[in-house]
Amino acid sequence: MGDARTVEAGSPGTSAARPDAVLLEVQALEKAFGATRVLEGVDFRLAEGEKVCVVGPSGSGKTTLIRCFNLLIEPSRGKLFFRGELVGDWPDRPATINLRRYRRRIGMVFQHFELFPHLTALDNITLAPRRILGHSRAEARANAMQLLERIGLTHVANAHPHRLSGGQKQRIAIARALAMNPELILFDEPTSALDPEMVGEVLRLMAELAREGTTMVIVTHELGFARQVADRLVVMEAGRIVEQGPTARMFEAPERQRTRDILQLEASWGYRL
Amino acid sequence: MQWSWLHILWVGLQVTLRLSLYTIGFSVVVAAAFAVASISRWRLVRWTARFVVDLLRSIPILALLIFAYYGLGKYIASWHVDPFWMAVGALTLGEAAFLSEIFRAGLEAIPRTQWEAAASLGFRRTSALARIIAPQAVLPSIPGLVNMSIFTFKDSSLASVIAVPEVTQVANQLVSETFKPLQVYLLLAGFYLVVILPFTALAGLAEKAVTRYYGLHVDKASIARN
Repeated sequence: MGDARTVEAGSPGTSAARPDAVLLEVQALEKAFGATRVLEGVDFRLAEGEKVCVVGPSGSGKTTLIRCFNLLIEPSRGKLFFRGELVGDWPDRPATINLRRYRRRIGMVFQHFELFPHLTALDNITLAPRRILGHSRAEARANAMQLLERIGLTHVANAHPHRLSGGQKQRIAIARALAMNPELILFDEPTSALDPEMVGEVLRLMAELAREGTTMVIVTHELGFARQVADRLVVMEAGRIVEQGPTARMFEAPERQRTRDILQLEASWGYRL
Repeated sequence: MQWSWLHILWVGLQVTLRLSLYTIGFSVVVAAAFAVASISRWRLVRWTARFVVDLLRSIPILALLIFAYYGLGKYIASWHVDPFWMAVGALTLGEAAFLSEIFRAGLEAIPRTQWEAAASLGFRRTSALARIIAPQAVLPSIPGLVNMSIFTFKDSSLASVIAVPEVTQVANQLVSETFKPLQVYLLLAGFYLVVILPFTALAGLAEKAVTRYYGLHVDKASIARN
């Protein structure tokens, strides 16, 4: 339960993590869909500025876990804290806070991008700042153009998503999340739906965000990326965390044989050139 | 056949067109309301909407018209409601019930993940529906809407039974005056045809355009990996 030592600073030089400032915490989190138990008691802490990769076989509950973080999925049992504040205590005190206000503090990037197909790239980015944060059209637009410039996609600002490549779509989706100035960004297998040649551009952007100190939780099968970018690795299987710890140690000297097996299995997923 | 028939029927056709356009206009509004209610988060709203739609769908439009005119007419006689507007009301209810199913299918076809993307940005359900979900459902609903418009146009002939002077009613009168049913009704069929044929062509085009649009939109990347 909530072991403080699970929150550790990442490898020196790559991390802006402050182990003392816990951003998000879940305790004994459980989720069942009917009779199917997807999460079976997960304890997890995330420090501000920390980059955590969540890996594990399909169906291990990774996606469900991060969807519980922004309450796209409501936990069946357990507690969720954000900046030390109780967000909910299931099943007795479900979501005690304003859900919408909470969700907009947490960005999310989806496997299938989920850009809004009827809007241009620019409008995809400005919609929420304008409608949710109340920014003026000009303000939202200026911000969005800055983001587009940063990701090198100003030339597609007025294109609709169906005109964009998968890699471009995912970068726009990341910009859409960034436009809300989130305190944390959740990535749900952001490169799994991409053609192999487009994985790199998305991972490079994510690595850049990581360098800038963005707090990120990334569900991924890209172990190479995890190794480079993540402060901490969480290995999941069958709705439980098998092991978590600083990335380098997890790869080089995992405490459990099972961790080693899963990482080996996951490594065979990745693209080889 | 005399040239005056053409003129008489043309006057009737104008009523038919007016009746159809009002009906289509109101149907879109009523159907949209039913469609939104039928995907409501609140069970009571959802069930009520679906019950009313099912009820209306199972009543012949002719019966709705007769009910409005002869059933209610007696009680609302003092309001002096023009049969034209009774016909608009009855036709609207009858057509909107079907149209709402087209709209509902359009809304339900938008993947749940689009709702999630909206929620993750902080949108409440109603604004997600208005800004993100409904706009995407418009295009796929267009072929169905064009079809329903054709049905509405033809069903408007039913208003002849409550003495709305639309083109079928006018034709009936012409027959009773001239005793030439074959010629009059053939001419009447021609009038309907002249309006509907271009509209059917339009429906075909709309359908093709929508299919092409969505065909192009299929996400190649997601097919490649999954």
